[in-house]
Amino acid sequence: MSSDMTDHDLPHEHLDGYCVDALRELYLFLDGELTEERRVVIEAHINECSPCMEKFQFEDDLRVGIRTVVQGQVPPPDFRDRLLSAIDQAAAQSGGA
Amino acid sequence: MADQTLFADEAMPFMTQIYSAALRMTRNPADAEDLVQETYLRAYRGFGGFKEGSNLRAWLYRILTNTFINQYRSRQRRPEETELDEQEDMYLLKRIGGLEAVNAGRSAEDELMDYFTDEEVTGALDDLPENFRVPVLLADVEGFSYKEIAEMLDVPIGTVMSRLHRGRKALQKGLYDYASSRGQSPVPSDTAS
Repeated sequence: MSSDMTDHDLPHEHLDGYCVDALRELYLFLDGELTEERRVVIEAHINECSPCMEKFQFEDDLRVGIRTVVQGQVPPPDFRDRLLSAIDQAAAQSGGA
Repeated sequence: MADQTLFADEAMPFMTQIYSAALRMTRNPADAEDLVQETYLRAYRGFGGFKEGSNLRAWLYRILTNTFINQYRSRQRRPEETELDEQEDMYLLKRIGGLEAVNAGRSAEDELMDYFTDEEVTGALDDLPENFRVPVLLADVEGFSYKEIAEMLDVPIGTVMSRLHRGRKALQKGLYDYASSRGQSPVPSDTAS
């Protein structure tokens, strides 16, 4: 795929509706909210159009990066045990023990 | 009907992920711990009503979101329902686009994230008003569908979509502003094609 990216600096000339449609549906595509029919159309377009590919890839990379940072923040090591104790206590109080 | 004695075994595997979401909702570790604990206690008490075979993760996040909105927001004098200035689409790409070509051999994602410290990413998220921050978290970090988010927040799907749209643009501007104020000098937008 990377060898197809050499023309990614060319002016974006596909103003025939495909790119406009693809960009309008960019987030719906990334969010997995397109119908299967539209998803196939947009995916085919991205694979053929490197400016659109770059835009979609950028937004996707950014999202993955943000997710990695947020999910990299973990609770203190003893939190799991404290939480389990709290659940046990609730179980005992409700007579479930 | 789910068996309450199985609750911990089934729900604890989601705890670390739920903590990280709670941390970005409350924006501080002590409140995040309280929120996770309250979420798990509520989920434990309500586990008898959880339909086995349905999505436990989504159910837990629904309780998390509800608890956060009802409990933590009511502590504030007024709900943090704020509007955002309109930003342009693809704010970041227009300013720092074309990075991939600079450093061959590294993934574009690594290179993109080199622009921001972890603190800038969490800072830009934390700067978003709550009514935008929560949907952006639920979609972009947790991967929930519009419909699931609409149910968690009890708002129409169209509201979820418009908050995501504006929240994401504001997040990109926030990231850019953090990076440029630290002296990162992104490619000026007029040299990016």
